[in-house]
Amino acid sequence: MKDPNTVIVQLESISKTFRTRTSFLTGSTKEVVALNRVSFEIFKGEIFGLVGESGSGKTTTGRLIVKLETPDSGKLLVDGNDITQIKGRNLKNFRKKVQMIFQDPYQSLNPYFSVYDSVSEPLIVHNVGDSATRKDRVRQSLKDVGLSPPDDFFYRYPHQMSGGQRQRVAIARAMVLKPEFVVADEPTSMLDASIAIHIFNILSELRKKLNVTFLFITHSLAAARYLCDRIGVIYKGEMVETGAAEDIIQNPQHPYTQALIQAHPRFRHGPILKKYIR
Amino acid sequence: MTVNQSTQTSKISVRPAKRFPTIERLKEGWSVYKENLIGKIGLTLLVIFALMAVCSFFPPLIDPMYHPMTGVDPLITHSTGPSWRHWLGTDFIGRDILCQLLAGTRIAFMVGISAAFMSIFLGTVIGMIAGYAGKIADTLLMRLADMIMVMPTLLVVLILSSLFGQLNIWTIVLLIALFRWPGVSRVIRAQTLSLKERPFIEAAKVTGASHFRIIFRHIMPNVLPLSLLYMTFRVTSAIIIEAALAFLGFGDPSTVSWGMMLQWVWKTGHMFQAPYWLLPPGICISLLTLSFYMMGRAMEEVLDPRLRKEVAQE
Repeated sequence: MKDPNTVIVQLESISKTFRTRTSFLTGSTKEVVALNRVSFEIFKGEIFGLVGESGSGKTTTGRLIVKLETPDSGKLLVDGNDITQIKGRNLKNFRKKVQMIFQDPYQSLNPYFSVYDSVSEPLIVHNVGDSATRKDRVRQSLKDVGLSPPDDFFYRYPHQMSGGQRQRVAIARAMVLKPEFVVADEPTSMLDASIAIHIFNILSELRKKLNVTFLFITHSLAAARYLCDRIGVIYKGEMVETGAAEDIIQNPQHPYTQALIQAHPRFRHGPILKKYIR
Repeated sequence: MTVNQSTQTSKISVRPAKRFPTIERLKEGWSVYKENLIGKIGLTLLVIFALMAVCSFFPPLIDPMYHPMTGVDPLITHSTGPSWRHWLGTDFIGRDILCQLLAGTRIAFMVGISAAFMSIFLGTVIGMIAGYAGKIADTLLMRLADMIMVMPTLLVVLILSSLFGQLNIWTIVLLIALFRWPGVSRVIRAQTLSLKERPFIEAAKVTGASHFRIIFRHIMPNVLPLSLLYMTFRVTSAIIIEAALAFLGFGDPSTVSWGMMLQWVWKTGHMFQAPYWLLPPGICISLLTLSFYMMGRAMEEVLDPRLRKEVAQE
């Protein structure tokens, strides 16, 4: 399942700067450096956690990998091919292999699309099978994310579902093409904790079942530790630390990582409880 | 186990499986609309005018003298007031005014709705393309829209009709449509600009959907309610432009429209002598445009929850 030898995604000193025009008359621009020479690689079959605070560039990294943005400089290799310049047919093939799960399930589904419309859209776009096979694929995909019986959800619309259900539909949409690599951009930040755990379990089961590689973007070290094999910590557009999840949590090297771990709330119930139990 | 499953499925099938958002939305919208007094008045007026338009087909069948264009009452040599034979009187050569009015309703609907439909179609497509494509396409299309928007429609159509002689009614419709799309396209463009930043459009992009698919499958359903709202306002302006054109003598001479009736009143010098002839077309023009305008205002309230009256205030 996990294959530490095959690199599926590799970023080589990727930089991305956003420019905002501040004044119409002078045309002066304000620059925001989202990513500054970031390099890391993701191995096939693993869940790689990208941890960082708001504005650290973690979402930009995800958007770059799915080609919603193009980097200013650097190389971005997916399956060994540089995707920074691809177009046309190659881009379409790339889209088939790489999918994304968005942060906000209330925004990432078209309000005029039923669940079936949303989940079957990737199949239609990529001309997969006839309508009967599509229906089966959609059904299977919805089952995989725990929406059962799937036929019952086919004709529901986003406003008729809860946040957790919507996010499952979004995951089903990302998974229906059986992609090799999926970017999950804070998929649980809009959901409450109990549903978040469900979503985590769905993701790790999907990984086992479909042999997908995940880039899991989160601001929570706890979530990253729960789900990820390796963690990368990103701070102000720079990758400060990468390593196995356990190592990063137990033995953080960079001061920022240490600060992140320190910032986690702790419940020192141990000693107090001991007092009462005795 | 199998028994269990079958009972489960049977339980599920009881639930309503297919629900269409469009129909649900319409129902929801209607419940807001019917609370609106202006909207109800507008709709009532519209229904009355629609009935009038339908009725316009019957009088010529009763007696050829009731034909709005060619039917002349042989007994009458000059304009007469209302009578049992001619409920609203006759014009200067003995044609029935009521029949002309009914035929004019049909023309007004035809002109208004088809011109509005065409301009909405153009405006929506151009607006979506400009908003979605951005950059040069956006600049070009929007500057074109600005150029057309500052042209006074009536004046340009007048010049064109004086250049090319009498215009066919469909040519007039087409010209109105060609000059009235920019307002719509600006609104649709603005809407598209905000829609295309929404994550569901990005999700479609990541899926690999083509631009064509994104525009027509994802963006269009979301902007369509707004274009329909603008259609009601465009109907109003199209009717007024056609009436003005006809009144000034540049209408289609082979059709009877309300503007044309007003022109006949004016040309034959009956402006202040025959109020029974002057008033009906004038009132009808005002009321029909008013009804579309009122419906538009009520629909605006349906679409924009911020305009709704607060029922319970904090």
